[in-house]
Amino acid sequence: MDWGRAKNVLILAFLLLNVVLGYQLWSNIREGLSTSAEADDLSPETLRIMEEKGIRLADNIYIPAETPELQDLTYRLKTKLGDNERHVLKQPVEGKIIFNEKQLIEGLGAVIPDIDQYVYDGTTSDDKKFVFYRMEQLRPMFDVKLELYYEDQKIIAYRQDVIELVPSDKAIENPVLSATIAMAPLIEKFLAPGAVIKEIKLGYHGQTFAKSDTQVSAPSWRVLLEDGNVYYIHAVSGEVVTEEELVS
Amino acid sequence: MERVKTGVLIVLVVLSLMQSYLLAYSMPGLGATLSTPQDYVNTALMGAEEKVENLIFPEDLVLHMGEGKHTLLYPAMNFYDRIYERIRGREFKGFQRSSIRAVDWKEVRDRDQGVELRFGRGVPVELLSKVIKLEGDLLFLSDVIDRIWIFNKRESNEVRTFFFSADSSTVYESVRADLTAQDIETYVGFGEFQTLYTPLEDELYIPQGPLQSVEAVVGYKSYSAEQMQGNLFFDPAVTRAISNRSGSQIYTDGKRGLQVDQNGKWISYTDPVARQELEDNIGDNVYASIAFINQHGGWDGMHRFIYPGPMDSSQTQIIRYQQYYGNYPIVPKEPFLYGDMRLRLQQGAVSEYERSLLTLQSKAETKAVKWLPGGEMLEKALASYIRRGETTALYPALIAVHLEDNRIRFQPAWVVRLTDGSQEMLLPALAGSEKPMPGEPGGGPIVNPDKKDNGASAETFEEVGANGAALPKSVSTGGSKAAVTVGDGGEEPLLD
Repeated sequence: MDWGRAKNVLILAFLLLNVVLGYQLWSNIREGLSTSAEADDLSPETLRIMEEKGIRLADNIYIPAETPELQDLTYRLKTKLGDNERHVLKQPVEGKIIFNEKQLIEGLGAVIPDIDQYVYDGTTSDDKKFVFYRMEQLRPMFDVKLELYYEDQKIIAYRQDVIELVPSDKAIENPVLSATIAMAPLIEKFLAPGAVIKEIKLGYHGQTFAKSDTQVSAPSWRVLLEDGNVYYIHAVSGEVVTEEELVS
Repeated sequence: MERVKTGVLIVLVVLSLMQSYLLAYSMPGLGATLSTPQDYVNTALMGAEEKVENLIFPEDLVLHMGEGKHTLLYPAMNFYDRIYERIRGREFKGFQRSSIRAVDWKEVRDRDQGVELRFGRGVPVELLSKVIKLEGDLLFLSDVIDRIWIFNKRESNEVRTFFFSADSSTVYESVRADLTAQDIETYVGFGEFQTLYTPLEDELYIPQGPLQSVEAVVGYKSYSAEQMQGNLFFDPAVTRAISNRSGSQIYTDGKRGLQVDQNGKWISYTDPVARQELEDNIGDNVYASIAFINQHGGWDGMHRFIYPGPMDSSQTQIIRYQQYYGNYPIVPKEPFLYGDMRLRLQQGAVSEYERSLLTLQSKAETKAVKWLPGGEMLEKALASYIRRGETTALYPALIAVHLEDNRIRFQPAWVVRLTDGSQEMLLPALAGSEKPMPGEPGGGPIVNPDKKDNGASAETFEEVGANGAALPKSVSTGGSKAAVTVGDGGEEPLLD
């Protein structure tokens, strides 16, 4: 046997193997880095149903491709969720500062507690108020809001949910479903014909218990429709929930 | 040269191993997801299972004996069961729709022999057809029935069967029902020795004499909240307990919630489900609710389906199952929560489920005979009742009072149902176990032999119903014999 030729063959074989593995690795890394998925990433079945029901995605929609590992959050309410009172600012401040975090903290940090924890959300804000969500690990908690009311380009009042996170030993990190997978059952079963999906975003949402100070939020995809309807999809189990609160 | 080749080969082998490792273990997309460690999920059934046939039955049967005499039978009474069983064995076909005004019902009530099955707030025909053999058109099948009246027309001796729509303007006559005049006579014969009832304007019936009932103290066992939690949540490993302000527990997995109230005796489970693009159907909702209860907690004793009415504004229906003890429905004394299960449903999905965790012991600890007042006393109480205008039904029930040492006392009482479906106690049972004599409060009327009124005609009776004050004297229809029959207790209520 010619050991030299055998080595040549082996080198060639391993070279090919390395090229294949390398390509696979490279494409995986690229997929992991890219943060946007395309509408085409939805399954053909879902796309067919979308066409049938006339459901479409808004033109400039951004579909996240990330699938991070997240855990449930437990938090304690300091100011009660929802029916918190509206505080009128003694000194109205310029409205445009909301777009600059530094200016915002300078302008309102002394008045509004934890303001540095809240981040502006353009899609749910309207012409009367700016909506901010409390952030946790760079993701919004959809049930914990800060609303800044403005008139004549001045912020005149605010409402805020103030919370305190409670460390939980039971929390397990779970990889979330990708947006395109989570959206499939929503599109197929829940959305009305003609619905337009405006935004899909990963954050935290949970059932709110009026009788309790402690609440639990689970990783959820929030889907906003053009007509204002909101759906939450549990990002681990894929179950679909509506906005309305049932617990009285 | 060979050394270089060997080196290259080694490098390539190592590189391919490394890349394989990276691909298999660290890169997203290919990563094998670890399943969460699960506790042992207890799927064991907690209570008995139930079928729709056993949950739909009339709230009461009214026997019209002719000559203005009426009596009522309540569920699980011997005669009730016998009549209802026979009617269930019959077939009703060929339904014809007509207006409720086509027949003079007052005349039928007081003159013709007949039996009336009253379903309280109503039953959708779709579900009724699972209990009684029906064959009708779609219009009929999609309606809701609150009464079935079968009577024997006096002059022609012909049996007619009417199903009353809950809209109180439509009736459906079954022109091909296989009931005979003999059947009706047999049914009515069962009422012969029962307490007589006087009808009021709005189809409430007042017994002329006292009604026997039983006060019982019954022990109970309770499921633990943990058992219920294990049963309701898919993955107990990710479910956590948080406590509310009053110190009781709430379990949640972020989506579903289970609130435990009343010191672990009552639970409210909530699972916010989104509306789907599906038709809503009461039949599907009822089946879904029964299946849900069968799987999550089961049934403790006899329950009756309560029709929720048409869809409310939130497009959901609250289906209730009222629990019975013996012959009578259970009404809890506030603030105790007991006596029914409530489920909010839409499109066959349960979004709310409220129930008690208690299960009654099969044998009562103590039992005592009690008498529910009849006659003038009840009539006066009803007439002066502040929400008389909203009253849609009057029936004997058991007020559940929670006692110490895991026991419940069931106190007999007259209860009214209001238009919104809520139940309120009107009059408690008389104190002591002595049967009130005619003339005593709550007893039957005194028969005055001088003022015999043999007429017993329909006209006299209507006057009586409208004018409560005249009751004690003119009610003595049929002469002194009535005094014997009236308030004789009739059929003994079930003691267990």
